[in-house]
Amino acid sequence: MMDMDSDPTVSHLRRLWLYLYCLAVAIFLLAPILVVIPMSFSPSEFLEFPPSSLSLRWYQSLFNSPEWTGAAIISLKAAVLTVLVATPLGIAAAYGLQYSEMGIAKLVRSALIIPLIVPVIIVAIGVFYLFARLNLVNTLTGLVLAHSVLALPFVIVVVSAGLQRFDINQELVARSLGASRVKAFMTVTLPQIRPSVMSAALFAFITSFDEVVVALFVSRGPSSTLTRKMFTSLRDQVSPAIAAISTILILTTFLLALAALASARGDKQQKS
Amino acid sequence: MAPHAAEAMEGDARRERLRLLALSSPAFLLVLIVLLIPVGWLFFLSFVDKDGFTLSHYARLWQNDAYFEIFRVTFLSSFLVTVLTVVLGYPLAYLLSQLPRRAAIIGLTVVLLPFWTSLLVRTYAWLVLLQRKGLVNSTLMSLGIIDEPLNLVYNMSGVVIGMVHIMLPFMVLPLYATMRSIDPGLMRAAISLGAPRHKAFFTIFAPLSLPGVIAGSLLVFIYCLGFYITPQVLGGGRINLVSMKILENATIYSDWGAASALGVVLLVVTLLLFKAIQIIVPVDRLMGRS
Amino acid sequence: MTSDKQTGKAGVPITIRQLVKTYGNYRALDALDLDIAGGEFLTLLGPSGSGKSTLLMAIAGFIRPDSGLLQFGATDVTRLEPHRRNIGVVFQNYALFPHMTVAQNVAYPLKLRNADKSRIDERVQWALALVKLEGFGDRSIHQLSGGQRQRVALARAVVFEPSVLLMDEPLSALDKKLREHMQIEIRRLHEKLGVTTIYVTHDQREALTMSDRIAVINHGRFAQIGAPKALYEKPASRFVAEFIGDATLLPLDAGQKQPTFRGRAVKTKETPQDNASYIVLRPEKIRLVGKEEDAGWNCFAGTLDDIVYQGESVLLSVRLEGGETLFLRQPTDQQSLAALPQRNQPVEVGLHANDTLIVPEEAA
Repeated sequence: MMDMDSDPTVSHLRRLWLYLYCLAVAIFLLAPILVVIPMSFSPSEFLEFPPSSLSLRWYQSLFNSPEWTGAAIISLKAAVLTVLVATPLGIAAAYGLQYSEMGIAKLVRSALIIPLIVPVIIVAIGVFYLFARLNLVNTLTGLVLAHSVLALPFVIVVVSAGLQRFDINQELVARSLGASRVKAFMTVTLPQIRPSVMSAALFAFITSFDEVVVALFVSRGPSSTLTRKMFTSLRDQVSPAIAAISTILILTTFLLALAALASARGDKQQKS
Repeated sequence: MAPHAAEAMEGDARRERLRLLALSSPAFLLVLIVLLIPVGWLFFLSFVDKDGFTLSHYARLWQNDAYFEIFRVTFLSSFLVTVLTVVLGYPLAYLLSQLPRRAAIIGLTVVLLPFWTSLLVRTYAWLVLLQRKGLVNSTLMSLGIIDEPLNLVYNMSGVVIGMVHIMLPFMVLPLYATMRSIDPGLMRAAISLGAPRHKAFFTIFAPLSLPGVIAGSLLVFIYCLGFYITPQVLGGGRINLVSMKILENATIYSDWGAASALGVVLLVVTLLLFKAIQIIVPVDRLMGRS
Repeated sequence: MTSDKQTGKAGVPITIRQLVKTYGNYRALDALDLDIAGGEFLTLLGPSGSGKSTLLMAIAGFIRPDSGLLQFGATDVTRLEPHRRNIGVVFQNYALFPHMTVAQNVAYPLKLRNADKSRIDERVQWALALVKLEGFGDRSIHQLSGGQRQRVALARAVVFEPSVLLMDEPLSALDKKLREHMQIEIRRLHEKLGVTTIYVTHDQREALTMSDRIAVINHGRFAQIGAPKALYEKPASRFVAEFIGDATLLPLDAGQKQPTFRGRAVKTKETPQDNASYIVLRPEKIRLVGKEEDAGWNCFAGTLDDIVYQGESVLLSVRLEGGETLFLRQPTDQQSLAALPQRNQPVEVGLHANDTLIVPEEAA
């Protein structure tokens, strides 16, 4: 298989320009991340690269700032709650829509994918307009509801893909062996689509944690999320403190992604 | 025992289908209440003022030169970003699709790392890189390519550079998926039939990869049309896009009619383009692969 | 309805009355009637798309019929959910649960029935022994070969003493040797358990080998139901004659009182039905005959087209004067081989009156 993929009819030398071009594109893709991390360890008030010496000054000031830690806690709460709302709702919807043979299922599915298509700015002003009337502006509930709507399409698409790969005969067998539909789903289907569920949850977490535009409208003042607070302070100053937050965000995301990957790999190893 | 009548059996079947459909109702209700109804409401607001039905909000969009300029800049920047992502993304996706799988996965990780990094973090990074005293200017000056620092940020070039970086993964992933699915035997067949390599590429590979290019381009273009965060930060208020005007109308002027009308126009364009994607490549496939 | 009828008793008879399932305008099951005796091994045989799998899935409860009646013993199960039917199902792809070990797979139905631990262990051991997989309990499904997976699926389907065992082309993924071996194994297992078994296949040879009775199904209707020998020797229609075994069918002359083929009377043992319209010629029932025509034979003149050596037999193809091609099988002992005519020689093919079958287009 491996050999079929690479094409022996063209030499590496003739492709040199392609390699160089792609290397440049790869640098373009990675440079921002690679530059931010060292900058966060700079002792200077100003941004410098490479930093003249290493210091944890900006991390200390962050952890000592109740404003930043408070915003981080709000972001984490919102993201965890969004996972808890969007994942089960998305799994139920994906399963129901996959196996209900009703014509309307297709329509419902399209409706559930809409948040992915509608520009976030429109979602944001719509949500703001509604929440202002329901007194949900600047509440965690409101933020979680809005983020769950944004996360649902990801959960549904990822879980549906998992269900499509799943051999539905297994659920039929489980039912013939005496399991009710619910029991069959819980004991046979769910354990096997677990990698999809994990990545759906990860998507939901990041969707919420990284979201800015809706938060700009519905989480202001003391209920600001971390990203919202970053966005606001970016307009005032380009401080290395932001680099420190960015570094923390990058590491958090990668750890989460690695965890998801490890769990998926664990499943695979179990299978082989 | 008598056979069961069709009505009773049909009732059972309908109940089961409804039970399954009902599983999607909590998700649907959430989307309906939090998204569909408010957006419908905005749609309604765009057609009324204090005297009732009106098209004045739309008329203003049409007549006011400032709005025309905003739309022009929005479409222009989206178009530029789309073209640049194709230019940067196509060769990369091509190389990845030709590599052995294991090497391709490493390459894809390079594409996915920024994809998984916070959008705001990446925007911030570009702000740092592109400043007058930033790394890009200082590198160019130390190499002797320029004498004076370039104005790379708080203008169109900063906006476009940042957006291209954010959007590139959205282009590379569908392109890669399309190119991987092209049978490598086809190129070998063309070459064995006497086509020179470049000719085989342009007559066989390029046309087959076209659906990926179109799908990726539409995806990038759509996202760009409604983009707010990155152009706001990197444009520094000097580049006005539709999304910013919507936000301004809604929050600063509380002019919901104007904000809604702009939103409706943006939404309609987006949905039309999205429909076009769906005809070319179903969204599930795009997402499922990425 | 008492619950003991649904659980635990092997060999429950099955009654199917006027079972209908339509998809749009297509009638997948066209008002089917069928009675299966308790403990019987019945095969549903038909080409793909004939409705055989639809019927099996309806009996299992995975497909809801539009109307009709389905009874296990005296219990009406037509509207019963699958998990209350007490059926064992074996799928073509086995559908073993990959996240469970062999023993966990087999224990699954027992756990659902809240059996206690010692009982579960005992039954799992019994079932694994039954399919000759003692000691495989701790293996992962991925460590098993195709044939072993098949056995686990069987063990799982019978461990809880279902009243009915349903099998949907369970052997089609196995290679020929293993398949033939498993046919005998399944047959043996059936005799041991005495559970009413419905077996779906499109392989007529498998159906002939394994079944007490075969129900041939086509376009959602039963073309014929009967014992293997009856179906082979007395097909009720052109479809059954062609589907079971190899056969060339020659059309009789139209509008004749007595059956004739190209003007010559066709001799038969029994008087054919009025609507009979084809002579059935099976390769092993016809042979090359001499010029002088025996009174007991129907003869067909033609040219020897081809001789194919197949190991256990030689297949000859003979082109008749009307252009039709007949096939006949000859043994491969030296004497028979030496007596074979050359290619392109004129030959005479004979079919004895006792073996002469005449079938109608459609069963009456």
